[in-house]
Amino acid sequence: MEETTSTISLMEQLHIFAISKALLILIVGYFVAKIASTAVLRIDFANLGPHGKVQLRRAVFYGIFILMLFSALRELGFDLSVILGAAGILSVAIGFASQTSASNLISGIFLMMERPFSIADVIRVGDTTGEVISIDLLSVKLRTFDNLFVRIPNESMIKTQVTTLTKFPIRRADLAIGIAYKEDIEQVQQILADVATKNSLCLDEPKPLFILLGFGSSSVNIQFSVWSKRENFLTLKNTMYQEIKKAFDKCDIEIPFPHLSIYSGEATKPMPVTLHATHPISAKPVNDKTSSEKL
Amino acid sequence: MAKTRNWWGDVSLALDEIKVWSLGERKIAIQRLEKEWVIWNKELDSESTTQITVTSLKTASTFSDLPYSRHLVSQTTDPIHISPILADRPIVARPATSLNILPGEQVELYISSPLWFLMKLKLKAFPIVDIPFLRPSDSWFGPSTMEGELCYAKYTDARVNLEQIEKRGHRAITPVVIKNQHTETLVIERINLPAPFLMLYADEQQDFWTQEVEITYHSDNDKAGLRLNPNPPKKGVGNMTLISDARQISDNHHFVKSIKSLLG
Repeated sequence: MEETTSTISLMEQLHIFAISKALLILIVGYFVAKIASTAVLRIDFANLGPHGKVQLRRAVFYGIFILMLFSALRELGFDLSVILGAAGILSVAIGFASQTSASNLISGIFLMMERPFSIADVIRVGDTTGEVISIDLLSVKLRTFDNLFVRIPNESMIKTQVTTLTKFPIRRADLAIGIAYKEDIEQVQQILADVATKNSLCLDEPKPLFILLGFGSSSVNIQFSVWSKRENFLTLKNTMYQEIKKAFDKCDIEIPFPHLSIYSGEATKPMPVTLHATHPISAKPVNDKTSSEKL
Repeated sequence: MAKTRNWWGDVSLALDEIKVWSLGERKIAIQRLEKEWVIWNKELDSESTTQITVTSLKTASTFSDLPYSRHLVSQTTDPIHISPILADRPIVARPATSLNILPGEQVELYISSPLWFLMKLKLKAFPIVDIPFLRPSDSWFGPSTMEGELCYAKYTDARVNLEQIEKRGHRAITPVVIKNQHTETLVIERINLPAPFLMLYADEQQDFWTQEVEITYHSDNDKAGLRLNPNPPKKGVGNMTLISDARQISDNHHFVKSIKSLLG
């Protein structure tokens, strides 16, 4: 009997009860938070995309878990106001020590509030284009189209230009086309308009745009801009180029390759070029022994 | 013009039989195998003026070079139901030139829109085939490239005279009544026809019609009242038969949309 009493008093001295109670609260709290965050997704909220679902799950999980953590700390006898005060001072110290992480964290909060894109959007940051797979406090994770995992720190997301490719339902494809100087530009404009009309993926409205960019070194440069449904963007671009090439070939419109004209100037006479071929060129062996010996 | 018998309705196929729905060279073929339905789809770029005909084939040799899709089921003894149905997106129609409707006036326009070929198993709700006879071009209808909706365009005209509309086997005609109750003249360059909300009817001459659409331009604000007449249109020859329900159900056949989303 005495032994039991002494063991209990020892356990009380070592705060075993309080510690195990706090641990129990933490463990139960973890599971409750986990179950609650999964259960809340079962409720079908209207207009909640994958991004919203992740945010909601995190909010529920961390909300419950932090409450449980506080009650566990209270069980252990900590005064919360003192802890929060200490945390304030500590955060200043930590802030100085981990400036980059803190800046990423703050940027992450701003990014979540501003919501320039959400999960499953396709974005372009610098030279990287990919699908957003998660938006976290410190970084945004992308999956590029060649299936690489890219982690972009939130700080650089805030600082640099981010282009969201999947914001609007329609997109414009700018086709760069060059035609020879001898061609009739109006005829080319008509052919391009016909190609766009025949392509069912090309939107009738907004109308395709024909821009004469100017006279290039070897060709008259044209920009032909066509609109499509966002999902058909690449298909439209590919089919339009193919159909334009076919239509140009059919109407004998030349797509020139770079030309190089050699001109010796006004003062000198044109460079004389004479060809002498006593034997047919093809009949001459490449490794002609006699000629190479002469050399 | 002599009409052939209906190409839609319940269809039963013998084992290995092929049925072909032809609109000129545009063909859709369905074959019944023991545990699968095989569908061939031969598309065409240009519109045919011929009627839709149904023929039976014993072998699939004529379709050997065409792409096909296979739909597996536990048994193919269920009969199939073929029906024409209206487009799955709104259709943008244009009058030949822009129309000015004076205040207090109302006009009636006719819009001809393309039909889709829908195949369902008799006991199942989900369609196996839902393809257009002639795919219209994509288009966009809205005040800007940021807001608006995807629709179909091309091959669609809005006419003031019904006689000017050529009746074709793969198109349906919608009467549109536009009422201008505003104090300003209403200028119409484009009309957004809410095809997914319309029911499809056929008259005794097998011409397709849809419910009448009524668009009212109110004076008090920019809202336009869009009303879909629940009854079949009083046009065509003889009695109207309901062929297919609307793809989407509108509430109370009366919903208010912004004038910019209906007329442009």
